Amino acid sequence: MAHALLTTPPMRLALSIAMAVASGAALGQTSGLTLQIQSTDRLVVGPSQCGANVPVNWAVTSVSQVCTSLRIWVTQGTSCATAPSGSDFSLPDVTVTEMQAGQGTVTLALADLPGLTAADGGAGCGAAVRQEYRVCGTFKIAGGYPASCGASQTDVSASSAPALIYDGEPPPPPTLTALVPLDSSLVAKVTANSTDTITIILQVKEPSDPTSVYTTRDTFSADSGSGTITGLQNGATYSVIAIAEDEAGNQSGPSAPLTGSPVPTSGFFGQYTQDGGAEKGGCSIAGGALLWPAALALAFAGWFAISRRRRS
Amino acid sequence: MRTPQVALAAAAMALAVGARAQEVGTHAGEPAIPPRGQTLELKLGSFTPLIDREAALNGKTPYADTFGTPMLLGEVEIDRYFYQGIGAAGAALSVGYAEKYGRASVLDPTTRLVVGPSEEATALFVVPIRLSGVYRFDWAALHYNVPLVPYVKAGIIYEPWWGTKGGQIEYVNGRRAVGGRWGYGGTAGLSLMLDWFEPRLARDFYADLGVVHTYVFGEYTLAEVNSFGAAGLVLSSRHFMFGVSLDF
Repeated sequence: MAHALLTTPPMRLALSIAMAVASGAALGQTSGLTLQIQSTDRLVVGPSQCGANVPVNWAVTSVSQVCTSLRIWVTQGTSCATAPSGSDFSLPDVTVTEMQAGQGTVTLALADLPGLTAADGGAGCGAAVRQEYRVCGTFKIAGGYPASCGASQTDVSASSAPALIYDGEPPPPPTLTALVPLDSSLVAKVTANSTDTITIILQVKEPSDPTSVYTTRDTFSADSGSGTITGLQNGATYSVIAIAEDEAGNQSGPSAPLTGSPVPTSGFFGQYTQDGGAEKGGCSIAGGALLWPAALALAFAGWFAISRRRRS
Repeated sequence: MRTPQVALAAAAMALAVGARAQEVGTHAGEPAIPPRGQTLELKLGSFTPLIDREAALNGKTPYADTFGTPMLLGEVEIDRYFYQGIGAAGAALSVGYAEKYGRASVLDPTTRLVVGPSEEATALFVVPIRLSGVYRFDWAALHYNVPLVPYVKAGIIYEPWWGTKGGQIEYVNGRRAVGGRWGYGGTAGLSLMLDWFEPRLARDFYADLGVVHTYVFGEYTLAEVNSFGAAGLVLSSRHFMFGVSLDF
């Protein structure tokens, strides 16, 4: 290559260098398309959101050589084709002029999702089904050399297709495996019975009122395996149920109830006090109790610093 | 062993010690031993506060009943020397931390007597803070190639403590399980100078990081932490600790 350049006449050498610089510049201007739904790459929705609209955010880079408008569509499945098919739902095109802004938003009505509308033979939004979608997009840029929007246009597709999941299926009821009695509280141990991301809702029926209903007292991630219901009365018997809620907000039926009674307990200090220990406790570590130790430590640190300075 | 062989062995030993002394730079013509200004100690030990010795408990043993075994105490200490001659004397400040978890007890709702262990955790935390005078007899190590440095410390102690049940500070009859106890204590220990084993590595350690000497050590502490006899928690202890120290 070096030999070839050295033996090339000056005019052709200048032309070669110019072409190399131009192609390098063209390589540096790579076009790209990014899509997100509600600023995330994965959104789970449920029947309670059927009437809602979600924003689809788009962003394009190197928009100076764009030839066509940006097409965005929603397809059932887990991958995108290069163009929408008849069963896909297309959103309004983003024009070349609009693309000059570099980014923007189009709105998707969840009721329009393919396979969920009465018009396309779906079960209708709100049905107890689970469907997975991808939001896809593409536009064309100039190709060839010199670049032009002629016959050799190049497709630019989204670098990744965000997932939109419609989940209308409630999770199975969780299993309440145990109620562990603590002081004024109960620890409920729960198995979710589902591989989905589940939140457990603990509901308690008050013992003092026979007409009372179960009310929510605690929520926790099913991964943690247990939740604590606090503020209970020692010795009273409480009935507890657990309900699973998935990401889409679908709630399971209740688990079989368990009953439990909080018990008074004694920690180390309680045991020490009961055994006759004379310690009164009560002083604040952050308050005056640390005044003298803090003064001594500061005096030491000051002497340490001064003696180091003298030494150096 | 015959006399000439004994003499030969003694001569070889003397040469070896002399050679090692030259390696650590204690002979004329070698670089002088750099003076150390302070010592940093990192240490761990098994620590049992003598809570159960409180007279008011009348022989009852709440610490042993709840926790059973000693705590693991970790401490960091910084010493600063104001005298360096025959050994080194200075002041030391150390801060430690220990925690111990056990199971709370279930009480009978009527009699309030213990009926069994609970699923609930209970814990005791202590933070011993010591301000001490320290003397290290390292003269023999620095001048006669003896790698052992005995030392003593004595000073005052303040020990904040707190107790929890179910992860929260425990309250009993309005008493909050938080406090601090004063005391005093002394420590005796013995350090082994590691430079003696690897003098060249020690020189590199000094050149690169400014560490003059490196030791491993063991020490025994006797601490009376009962606020000078005042009623309350006894956090006194007698315990061994082991660690590493760096002169710099």
